[in-house]
Amino acid sequence: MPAFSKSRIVGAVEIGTSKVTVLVGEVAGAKLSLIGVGEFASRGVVKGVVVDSPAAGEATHRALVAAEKSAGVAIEQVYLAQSGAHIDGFYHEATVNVGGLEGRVGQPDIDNVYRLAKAKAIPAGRCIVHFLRRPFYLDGSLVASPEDIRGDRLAVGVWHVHGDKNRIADGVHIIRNFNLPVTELVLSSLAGGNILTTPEERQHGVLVVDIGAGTTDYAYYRHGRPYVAGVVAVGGNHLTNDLSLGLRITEGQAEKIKTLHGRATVSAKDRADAVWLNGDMGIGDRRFPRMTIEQITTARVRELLEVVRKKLGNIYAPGDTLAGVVITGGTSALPGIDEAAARVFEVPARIGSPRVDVADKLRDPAYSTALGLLYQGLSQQIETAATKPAGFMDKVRKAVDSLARL
Amino acid sequence: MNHVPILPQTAPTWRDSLAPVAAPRPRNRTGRRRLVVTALRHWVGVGLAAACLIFGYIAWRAWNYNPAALAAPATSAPLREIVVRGDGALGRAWVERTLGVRPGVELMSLDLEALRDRLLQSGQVKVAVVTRRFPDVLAVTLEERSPVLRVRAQGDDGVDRHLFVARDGFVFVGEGYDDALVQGLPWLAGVNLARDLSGRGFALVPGMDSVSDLLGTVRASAPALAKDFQIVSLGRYARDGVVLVRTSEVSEIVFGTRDDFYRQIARLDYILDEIRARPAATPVRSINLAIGGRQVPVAFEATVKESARSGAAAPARPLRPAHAPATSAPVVLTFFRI
Repeated sequence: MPAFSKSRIVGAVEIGTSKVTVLVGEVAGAKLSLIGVGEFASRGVVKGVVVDSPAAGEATHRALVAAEKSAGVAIEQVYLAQSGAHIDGFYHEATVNVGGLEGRVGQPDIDNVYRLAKAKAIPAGRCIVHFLRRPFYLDGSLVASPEDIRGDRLAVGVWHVHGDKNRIADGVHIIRNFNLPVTELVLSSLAGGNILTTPEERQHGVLVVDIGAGTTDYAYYRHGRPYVAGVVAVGGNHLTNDLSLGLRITEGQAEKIKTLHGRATVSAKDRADAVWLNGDMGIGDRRFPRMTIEQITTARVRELLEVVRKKLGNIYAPGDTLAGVVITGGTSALPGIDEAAARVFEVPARIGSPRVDVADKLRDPAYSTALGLLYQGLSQQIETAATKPAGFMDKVRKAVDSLARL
Repeated sequence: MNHVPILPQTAPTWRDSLAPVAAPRPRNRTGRRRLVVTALRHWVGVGLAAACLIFGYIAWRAWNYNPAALAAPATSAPLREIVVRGDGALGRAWVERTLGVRPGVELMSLDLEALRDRLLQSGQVKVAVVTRRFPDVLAVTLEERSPVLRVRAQGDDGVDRHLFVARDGFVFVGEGYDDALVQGLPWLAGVNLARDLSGRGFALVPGMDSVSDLLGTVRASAPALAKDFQIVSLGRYARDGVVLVRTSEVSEIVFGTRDDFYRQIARLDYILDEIRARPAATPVRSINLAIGGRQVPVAFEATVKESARSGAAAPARPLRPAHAPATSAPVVLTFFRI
């Protein structure tokens, strides 16, 4: 029972454009358990950014309440997925001369070079979300761990993921308004990457593309570490929008057409093959050529994937991406999207599926971000639990803090 | 020579930029409720921990400086005063005399059970509570029986004395009553006082609760009439369920215990007023209020002329003595219609 054991209850929250997903996990010793799930239709969020805080807060709090009810326990801390068009990144690397005994790399050398690599100014109004450290290079050679290895020059590169601090604060405050602390912000693509790929795949090179409703998050792994991560402000809603404009139908009808007949590759051969808008032969019911629908969605999906490849730039190389591309997110349900991704990225592509044992419902790619987030949160909890148990003074501090907020 | 490199600062993370607003107030009801519950839980935990710490410290200190203090019994000072609280006639002097406790005795050495028994030996005391009030006071609280009737009987020593009968039928030797109160109590008649099983007191007198109710009602509704109640007899209580009362005007008033006493007293008052208003007052022998209905039978003593004509003996007083055989005397029966 959580009340009597040393377990901790962790929540993973993804405030998406189409829905808010909350997963509840319990960490008891080295055991991770998924114990609750809550969902609510998102409101007040456009392209991963909160534009109506009360509405978004209400939807998130309802999802949190549903998750707590499902789990039967109160969440103690939250891992929050971060996305949005404001997320950007840049690369910075640093090199130091090795100063250890007998020319061997010591911990101070590693700390110094890593700190130098992180010490790059970012534009005003921005804040760092993640520092993604790439592997170390010692005298130009890649080393997994440079400590105690002889060499002259130690180099490391860091991908800085940063975002607009006001937009980030909006998401964090929604959770804090529910009187829950945000323990960690995790980029959606990295959260998904944790659960959809194996360490071997990350070692061989793998690209994870999470196509959500408003945004597309991507994370590129090589040598076992995330090299690049970012967000493209294009998502499944753009396909709906294109269909709405192209077929001159409402967004609701376009969403339905996309879900039922949309594809990421054109498979229709006959122009006469048509689908009905409503299928009830009533007033306003219309027929659309299947090929037209597929052409519209295919073009947009291809464009979206090409934007991702362009954002990756020269760092992406098909030859270094042996594990291929993993597509996830709600839009990955579009048939043929793996084929489209394989064509654009010139490597094999597949639809992501969690590498852990979870309920069938949660194997849906739409849950991969929240699942990865929870997995990361629970793993981190195990590490912190082993290093720093909460003491009496922590409890007193919490009590004083809660009293001050009453 | 070692030299420490001067490293530039890293860019601010999201934690740094959100630090100034680390603890916003919850803006919705669910959040506020969560906050209150969390705060309560934390404060209860902190309070319990603090209480344990304080208690532990006190115990440790007591143990450390004087371990014997934890095991030794509490000591008391010598008795200084006996505080008496009661609802009757018994006062502090009676209590001190009965208890026989002298000032200066150790309070803890007093046997409270034994003291209480001493007080209860007097039948006048119904309930007695004896407590220690540290450091040096003995507190006595008494609840006394109230006398309803008086009776004359032999005590344990064979001497005739006044006894009192309480509402619960308990017969006791009263003490400390005002003479006026004692003189105002009617006599009890019609019962044989029997010794109880222990032989030290008398058995309970049945029917005293009805008598107490009757006297209480008459005192409240007709005080002048109450003062005239001389003898109350329970001779027919067991058999007929009636109480007989003798006053200076009427030899025998019969009250039914199953009827409302207030109604019966109201009728009695009316009848007596009617009789007093007659030009030639004739002694009333009996008024029977126990029959009920709209008519009350009233028996008048026959006058000398009427007696001679009928050849009957002189009228006898029916209530004296209670065990004497009933005499038949000529009466004139009248029904008062109420």
